[in-house]
Amino acid sequence: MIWGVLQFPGSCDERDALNACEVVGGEARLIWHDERDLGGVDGIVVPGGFSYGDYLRAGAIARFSPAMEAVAELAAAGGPVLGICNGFQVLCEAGLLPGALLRNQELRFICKQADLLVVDGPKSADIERFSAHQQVLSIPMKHGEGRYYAPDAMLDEMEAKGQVAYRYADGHNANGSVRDIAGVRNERGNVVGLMPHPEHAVDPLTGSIDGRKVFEALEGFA
Amino acid sequence: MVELEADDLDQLGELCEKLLANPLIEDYEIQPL
Amino acid sequence: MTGDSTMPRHRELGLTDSEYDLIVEKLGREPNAVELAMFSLLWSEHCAYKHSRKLLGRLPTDGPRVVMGPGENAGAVDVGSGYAVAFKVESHNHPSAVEPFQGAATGVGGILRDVFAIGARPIAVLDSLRFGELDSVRSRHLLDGAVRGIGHYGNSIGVPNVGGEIYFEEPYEHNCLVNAMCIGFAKTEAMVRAAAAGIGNTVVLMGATTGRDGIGGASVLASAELGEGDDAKRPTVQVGDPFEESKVLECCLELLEKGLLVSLQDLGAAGLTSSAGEMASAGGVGIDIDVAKVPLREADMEPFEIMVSESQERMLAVVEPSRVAEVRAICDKWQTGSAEIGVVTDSGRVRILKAGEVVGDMPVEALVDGCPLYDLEPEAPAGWIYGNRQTLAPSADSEATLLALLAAPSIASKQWIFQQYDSIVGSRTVRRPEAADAAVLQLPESGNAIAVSIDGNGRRVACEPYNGTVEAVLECAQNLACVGAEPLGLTNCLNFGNPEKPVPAWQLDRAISGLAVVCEELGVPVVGGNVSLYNEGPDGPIYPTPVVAMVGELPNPAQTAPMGFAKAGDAIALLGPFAPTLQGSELAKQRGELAMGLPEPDVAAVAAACATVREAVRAGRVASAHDVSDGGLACALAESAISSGLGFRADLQDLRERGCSPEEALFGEGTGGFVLSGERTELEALGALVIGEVGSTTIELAAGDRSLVIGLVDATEAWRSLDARAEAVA
Repeated sequence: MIWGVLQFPGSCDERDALNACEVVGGEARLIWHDERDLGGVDGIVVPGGFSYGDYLRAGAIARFSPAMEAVAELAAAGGPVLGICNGFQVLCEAGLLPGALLRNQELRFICKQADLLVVDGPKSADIERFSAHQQVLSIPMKHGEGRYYAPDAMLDEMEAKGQVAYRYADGHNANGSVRDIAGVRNERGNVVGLMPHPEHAVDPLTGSIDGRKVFEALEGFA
Repeated sequence: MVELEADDLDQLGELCEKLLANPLIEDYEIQPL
Repeated sequence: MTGDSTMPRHRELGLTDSEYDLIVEKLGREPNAVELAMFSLLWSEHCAYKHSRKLLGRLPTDGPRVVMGPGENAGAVDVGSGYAVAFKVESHNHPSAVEPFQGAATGVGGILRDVFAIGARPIAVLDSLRFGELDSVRSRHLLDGAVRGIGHYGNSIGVPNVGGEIYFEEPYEHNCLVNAMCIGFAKTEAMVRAAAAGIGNTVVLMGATTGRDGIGGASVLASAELGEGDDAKRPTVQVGDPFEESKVLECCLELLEKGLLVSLQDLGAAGLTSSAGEMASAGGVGIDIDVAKVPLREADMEPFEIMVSESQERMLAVVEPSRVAEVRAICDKWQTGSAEIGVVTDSGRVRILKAGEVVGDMPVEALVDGCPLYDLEPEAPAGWIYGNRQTLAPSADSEATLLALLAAPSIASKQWIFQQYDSIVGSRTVRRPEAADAAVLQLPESGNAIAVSIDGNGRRVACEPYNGTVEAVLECAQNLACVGAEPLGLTNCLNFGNPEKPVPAWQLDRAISGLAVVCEELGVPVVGGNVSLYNEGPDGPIYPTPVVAMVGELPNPAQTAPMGFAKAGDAIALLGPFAPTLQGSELAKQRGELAMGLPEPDVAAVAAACATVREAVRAGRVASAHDVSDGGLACALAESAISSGLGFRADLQDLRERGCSPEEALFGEGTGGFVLSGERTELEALGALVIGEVGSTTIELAAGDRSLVIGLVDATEAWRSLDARAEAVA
């Protein structure tokens, strides 16, 4: 499968994402933000960083780029889209995922390893790959605005539809995200966003390799 | 706070809704100067 | 800038009368306002190194692995396979004391620019910080601001912060230190120098617009003591924008990759004045700059303001005229500014024009190299000049003493700080902060890895500047050895008091001598560095603080020993010529017993121990390695235990047989000690002294009548107590 990794002015982890896609066995290429044509990639990663210097709000500008228009089309057609950290923020701003990200509760940037619980989704692609809710992934988080928020009514609906994708394990919610939500998916399951960085958990030399599973979980949608 | 020049107040409202603010987490107020 | 209206303008700008007379002589006339402003900056201590340059000539700067040495924007060493690693450390002390967030942030921005100015992509930053004690509201404020500023800049631009050090000592209360280091990676053949070349070539300014930031920064802030009323200096602290920097960084690297630049220089202290002047000087050419062509952020800026502005995120390049359009197109792509502001000439002069009219005209040599260099008048102090404060009763038992040392903010875990930094972006970080004694970064491109450590205990240097500086370098080497790395080069930032006063002059002189001798003996060249003087307040000078950083290489990033013990049952051993005393120690500090004097390190013996540990780590023969430094052996052992969650039992009897008292064995400090763990037979084969075993819920140390047992939980709580102290509400 061929992954396209978007690149905005201010993106930081795009090369890490590129590398991670290749490690899990795919091909990957960078897509500049003003490209309207995704060049036939099978899936998209919207990477971490500080696109446009977080001007206005994190992700607020990036979501208007030509590349993101194309990503919205890919998502509507059922293709896999993975938003990581700033990418998650972009997808929420773009309305491709529900909710929003606020400043961390402690009002400080935090970089640390976190245990995430994988939460089953509505599609069989996930259920086949993972056993029940017990799977725990060790993945680093690094952000200043990662506190997930959505109003209660929206959250109830999301939970009912299996839209929570990842939760921080007990004691690992360092940013105050509501209901310990670390990542969410759209109703169909092909668009996933999470604050922690799976692309930084694919190389045993630099930490855990649990991040590979986050990429693999989306391959079924390609 | 963002200062803008705009002719059409309605248009400004739309601009706030769609770009300048994220209605899920932000309130906004338009103050004509 | 306000001042005494009867004081001559040159003195307001920091020039002495005789320096002014020399300028007049070199110009053949009185300087005008633009010229005077430019001379005052380039002849300031910060830019001209006038009190340190003669001493710095003692430092060894050559070596077979040196690709770029002192004098370029950053130093660089060869790491094999056609690749080089660039690195440098710089201070931003005075701005940080006035406005810690922006002072520290722009310190990071500046050092990043120094590294990508030579064509190396920044791959890591580290920082070395000093503040007053944490019971001071001011120091907590400075710590908080500096950490947030460093985090803001580094995190936003996507360069990982992989290590550093922080000390809290009263002598830094009025003069904090913020030293920022950057490491870059490049293909050796792609690296570029700063020297302007090619008569008729175009001078292009790239990056952000020019405003009034930092006007007079180099002369106002960095070259004078801070005193009362320093709030008036607040407007001159520069404001940083990491997003701007990321754009101009990518732009410059692409321009260099495409071979479009003849030379490149960053704009730092003294802005266009120093960049243009230094580029011309290095190239033996002249340069014309037209200030009317500089993109401005603020209206109606005077020519001198434009020339001395320290607005951030700007770079200066020399480009062949036929390639200027291509250069500007790439700047546009990256949404960063570009403007043709000047031309390289054969005049040997720096000329400033305003829309074609000459408003300043100086010989390059006079401006850049004409500043007189001064000899110091050193004088050793009669005794300890820094005072003492007792925070631990001499009657405190060993358990209370160990807990007090572990909880000391200078020794305690810095997790509260480094968790505010992104330490993993770039996917190179093999050893994150506090995981091992040095940071380790993999270099898949060249098939190996590098390690880096930054160290410098000012208190110990104050006890004996020569020996203390030698120790600092040896500590770096020991930290590198713990991860299997061999030193390739060293950079340093010399933070001292007022060199015109006898004691700081003596401290600087002795420290540089020590640095020169130990680097020579170890065969580690000094490839660059920085000097920050006049760090003095109403209470006197700071501790003399030579911050040294070493970069080393290791063949296999999978073979680096962690700091923490690996498993219960492993043996614990001590290796190296460790001969601890309480002189200059954290314990002496807490007892209020600091005095002059420090034992002379045995450089050859420590170097031999480093080699042994390095080879053992590379061969996978040890499970953990940690050097003994602040707080002595008890703290080193405790740190290995706490970070692994595994307690231990150890007996220090053998150390006592070498002549240490029980207290010295436990809490004494000095170079040459390594704490290793692993298979007993392996450790013995290395020549290490087995002293204990891993595995329990307590820390148990047998040391005659000072033996101690404490729970691992209590030790952990003490070592992890920095958050509470740092965030204490006054």
